[in-house]
Amino acid sequence: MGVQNIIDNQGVSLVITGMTIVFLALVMVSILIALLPKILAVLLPPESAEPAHGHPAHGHPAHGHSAHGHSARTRESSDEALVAAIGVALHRRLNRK
Amino acid sequence: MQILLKFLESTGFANLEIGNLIMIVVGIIFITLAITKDYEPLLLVPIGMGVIVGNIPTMDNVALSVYSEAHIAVENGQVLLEDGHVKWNAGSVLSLLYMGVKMGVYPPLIFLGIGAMTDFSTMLSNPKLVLLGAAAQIGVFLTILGALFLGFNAQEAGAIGIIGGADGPTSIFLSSQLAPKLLGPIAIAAYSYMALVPVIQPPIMKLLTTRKERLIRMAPPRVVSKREKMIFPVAAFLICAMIAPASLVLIGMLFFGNLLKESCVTDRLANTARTAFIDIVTILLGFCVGASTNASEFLTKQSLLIFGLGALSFCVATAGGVLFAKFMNLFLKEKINPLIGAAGVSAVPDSARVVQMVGQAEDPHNSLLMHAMAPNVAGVIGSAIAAGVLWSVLAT
Repeated sequence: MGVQNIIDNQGVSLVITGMTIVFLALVMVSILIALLPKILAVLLPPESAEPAHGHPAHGHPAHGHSAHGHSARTRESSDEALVAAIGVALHRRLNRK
Repeated sequence: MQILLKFLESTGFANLEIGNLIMIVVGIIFITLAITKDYEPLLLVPIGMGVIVGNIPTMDNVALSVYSEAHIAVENGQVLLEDGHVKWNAGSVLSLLYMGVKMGVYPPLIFLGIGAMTDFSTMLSNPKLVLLGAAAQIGVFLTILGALFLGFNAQEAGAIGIIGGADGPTSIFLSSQLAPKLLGPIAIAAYSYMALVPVIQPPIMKLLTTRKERLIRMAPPRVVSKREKMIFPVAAFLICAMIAPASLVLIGMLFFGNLLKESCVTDRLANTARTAFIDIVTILLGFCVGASTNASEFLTKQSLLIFGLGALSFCVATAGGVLFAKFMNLFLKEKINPLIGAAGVSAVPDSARVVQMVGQAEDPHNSLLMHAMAPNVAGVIGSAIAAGVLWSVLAT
């Protein structure tokens, strides 16, 4: 009990080591986060305007001439065609009744 | 008549002790706080009910409590046989469920659900705020000194200190590994203080900041690309697990859950992890932890000390985050509102909500919630790493 127990169990060293490791890990995560957009910009082509699952990536302009942009537009138009087809089918079915 | 007398002797009324009665009242208070004050109801209702269940006196010859574990009959070092088979007792249903707590199974599963719920966008948009999640872990480590000073051994001190991480599953995980005997009080203290975040934090935040600082407005976070969100869980996991491998179980499940969410190809898995799955584990964890608080095990001087140290660790963690934000402001051109430092304790999202509440009390048009979420999720990572460090250093 008391200060002697802290000394016996190397309490102060534990505190300093523990805080250092936690800071080191999170500083490295912070550096990773800061560098990630820059690394991605160098390594990969820019993202399309419409990322997977249709969540628009605001702030990222559409790249109409890229392959990604083309596939996004194609998917968008085929989605619209699908919606239109479902609409027509429903309309006909309801009219039959 | 004898049968009736024997039955009456076995009733809860006949065996109820004052300690059980106190704990049943505590359980009722938990449930009342959850229902009337809306303090962490998803945790306090299962824990409160568990406390009540765990304090109903049980009979010696019937396996009912969480402590009635499965065992093989042994006499003089020899396994006893009955009709040629090993004589054994299956233990109680509660003890089987409690195995998930004792063996540290539930906490990583909860982390999976938390990962599938968490949006790291605000943290990715402002990486310097990650440091606030590290600063708040000072509560964990200074509390260890306090626990050692009060006579706990190093393992117990480590398990008590992690209460300052404001992370229930992490506290349970670490105490199950380092100090299983203290698991009940530590878990109850951690969850109680998490529920009391709106009460504990605001006075400290106001005390350590000026009005001018509380009025600081921060620039809106930048938009984060889908690719960054997808790559982050894998890259961050590699960094954290390589530095502190003992945090692998918690951190691994957290980032795995987040990868399910962000990969966009496992929506069904992510949806299950963040809804039914985490709810089931929360029910089992909360109820079992509550049921482990039998008065004979729980109402001790040690428990009171743990509660005192837990409160201290929460206060120190909050102060650490706020003061470090002020320290960062000495070097930053674009100042950060020091209130968001308080969200470095990982109680997600309650401490971020408290920051928003305190900030809006000064300026109703200043929205700090998004900014506070960054140190808040960084705090989850920080407390898991702290737990990993303590486990690897203190494991016997």
